[in-house]
Amino acid sequence: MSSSSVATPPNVNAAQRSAAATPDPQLIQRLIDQVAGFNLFVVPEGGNSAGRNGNGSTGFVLSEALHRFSITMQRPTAQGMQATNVLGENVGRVDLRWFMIPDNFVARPDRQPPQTRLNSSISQRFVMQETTFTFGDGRDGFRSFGTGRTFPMMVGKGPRVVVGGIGNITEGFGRFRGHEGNFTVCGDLTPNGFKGNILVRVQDNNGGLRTQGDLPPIQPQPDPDPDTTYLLWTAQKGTGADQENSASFGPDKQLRGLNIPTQLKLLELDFAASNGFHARDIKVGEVIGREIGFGRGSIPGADPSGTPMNPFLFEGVARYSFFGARGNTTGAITTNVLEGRRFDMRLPDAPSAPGLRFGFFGPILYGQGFFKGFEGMFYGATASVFNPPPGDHVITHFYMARMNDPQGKFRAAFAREQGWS
Amino acid sequence: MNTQSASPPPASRSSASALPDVNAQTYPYDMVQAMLDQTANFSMFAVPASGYDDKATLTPDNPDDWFGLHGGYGLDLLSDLHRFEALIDARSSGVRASQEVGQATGKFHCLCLFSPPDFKWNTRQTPSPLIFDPWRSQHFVMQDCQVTFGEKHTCQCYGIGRTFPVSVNGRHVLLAAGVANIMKGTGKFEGREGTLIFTGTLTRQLQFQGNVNLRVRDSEDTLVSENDLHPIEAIHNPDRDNCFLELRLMKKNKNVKTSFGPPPGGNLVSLITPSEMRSVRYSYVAGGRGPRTHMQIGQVLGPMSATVFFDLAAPPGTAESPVPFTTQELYTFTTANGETVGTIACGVVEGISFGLKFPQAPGQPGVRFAGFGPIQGGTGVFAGAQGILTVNSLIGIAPHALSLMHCLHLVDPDQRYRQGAGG
Repeated sequence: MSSSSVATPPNVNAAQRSAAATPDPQLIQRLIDQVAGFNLFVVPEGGNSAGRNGNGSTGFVLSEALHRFSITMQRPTAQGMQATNVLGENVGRVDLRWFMIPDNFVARPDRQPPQTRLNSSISQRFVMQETTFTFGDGRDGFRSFGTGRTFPMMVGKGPRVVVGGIGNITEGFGRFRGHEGNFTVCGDLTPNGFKGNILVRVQDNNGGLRTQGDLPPIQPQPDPDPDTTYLLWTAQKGTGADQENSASFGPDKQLRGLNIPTQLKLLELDFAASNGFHARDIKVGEVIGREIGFGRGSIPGADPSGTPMNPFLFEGVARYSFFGARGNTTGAITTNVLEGRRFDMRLPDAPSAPGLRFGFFGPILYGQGFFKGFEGMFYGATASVFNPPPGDHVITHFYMARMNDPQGKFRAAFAREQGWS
Repeated sequence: MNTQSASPPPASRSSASALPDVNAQTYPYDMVQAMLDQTANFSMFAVPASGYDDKATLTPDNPDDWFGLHGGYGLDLLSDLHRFEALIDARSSGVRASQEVGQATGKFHCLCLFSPPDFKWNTRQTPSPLIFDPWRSQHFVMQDCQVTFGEKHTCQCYGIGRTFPVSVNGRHVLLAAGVANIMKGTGKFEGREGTLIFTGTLTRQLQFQGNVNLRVRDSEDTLVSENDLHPIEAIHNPDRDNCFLELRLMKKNKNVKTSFGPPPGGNLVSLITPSEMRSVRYSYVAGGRGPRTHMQIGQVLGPMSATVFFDLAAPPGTAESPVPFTTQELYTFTTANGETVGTIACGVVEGISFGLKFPQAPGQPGVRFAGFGPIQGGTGVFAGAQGILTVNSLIGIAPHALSLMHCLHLVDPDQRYRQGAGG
């Protein structure tokens, strides 16, 4: 998205105004990066206790296998950009109760949705009424609530019901007890259930979810989806004039949103669950591009606070330009965030800082350069501390692009020695 | 059709008997028909201008405001306009149309801003922002729309449109249609009244490809040529997935009557208008001497029945405040022997109309109107048809003479409606 999408208009929130005096941005950056960030891949095993799957189904009640999922993106070149996608060993299970809902349904954990049938030819909303993740022997995990949307799409020669969704952790257990976090779902509704990626971001202020030691090597499994490639990168604020936020005003001179640029960087996330859940610290690499984005609240005049029961809704448009070796743009994608959910987040070591965490998804609208002609989905999970211009804005996005890639243009071959870290 | 207005003073409409007689003759039917036909008809094919998606922006005056990113809250469309001719042949074996796309003749630029569904036609106001969602049918405003032939001849328009997502063999396709009024002309279009309509596809680069029909009043015959224009120089068809059936419609003869149907509710009335479809070749050139058009009418294709819904009491539409209308239409394609080959049901969901005056016939009311709407279904050779109807028309009121320029845009990936594979 555009990080801007999360921004609250200047001078709206007194807490934010006072936050101009919050601690040093470098400290804030360290605090928001105290996070367990990891990628899961869900592989369906069949059997829907809610009835038939696929077209005409009203929902999906399934228990599916969770796998470790590793994405290592290589530096862009003039020819393109590639990433390894490695499905790893089974790390646990996800038990999900997802139901189709009408467009105007206000979803809540305590509200049962009306029966709505899946129509694979149109875009529909669904509620992730309950999605429970358990890792390893089942001691560690979390329950969650969220919503999403279907996007009928052709991938290669096959039609698919692609979905995007945002979930919020409602209760953690084991090592996840007491943690707040969110995740973003992107994959397919298949006749056997959901198949795809879940990008998870769990705030880990006390380090209980992370390890400084080595993780066991990933155990590669057969590729569950050769027709798509996932690209992963991060975005953070840089320095200099081209990284300054600015307000966007409409023809009526009223504020309509914020323009927020960021630097795009390589990112590595990893975890394992063979001996209890452990994630590695996120690894942020070199600058590989630039984001320019506009964002705004989806509902004009809405309360800027975001709570688990009533997250702040946002939307936006952004362009992600990737640099070749000479620093010139060699490829770009323009994306829309159609649904963003933002939650207020308190940082114990900077309690006055207006912390935010959020998830978002939407389509890749079109590509340029080596992305030209490609389609897919864009999504992510983020944490930030935002002070309106000219205050500090600290942010770390986890960005994902799921490219429809039947020819494998964006897929790099996996070899153990590969990787930039 | 028509929408509204135009017609004789509404007086009170408390009963059907109070409705005006739209078939009455203020001036002779043939005279009114001839006046309505004094239009220059440009049927064009828009092909996205190469590389423009790299430059497209909604905020050209402020490139650092990224609200203007193409595809976010609007679309900045630039297409090359090509000559286009589509002759229809209806036989028992099916309905086929030639689809000849010819040489480039000009440009079509349109800045579309997505708008809430309740945003009304307003040439002075920008709609509140609405993010582009390719999977939803959305309204848009054609904020800055221009057709250009060479450097001198331009039509600047304002209009409204909609996107229509469809599933084609499992593939998500986004159709788009719009209707606009000429607000200002230069060169040969200076001081002209006219209406523009388009229907086609938004490409992967979010540019427009499809049919653009411009209809401009030309009572002086300075745009219309009585003679054949030099032949089209066909290029490789840039659009193999869509077929455009160009139609000319009018009443079969002056004895065909228009009648009022059951009132649809509110202040609206319904007008049932029978007409006859014909194949037609709309030709134009845009050389150094400026644009010229020529119309050649072909075979009868069958009857069309339209029910038009409009507010009879509304004052005649103007450029600042056109009168809306909707329709429900049935196109029945027949062979020369009268055998039905197939039907298409569709209707205008977004229509605008403007009062029409005739200097040669003071007091003769008329309406210029245009609109578009989705194809709802078909039978026979059109079973399963998807696409969009556009109408670009002029009519008289009392007598209710018709001069209709319609296009049935059919999504046609299997080339069921096309003559020749190459188009």
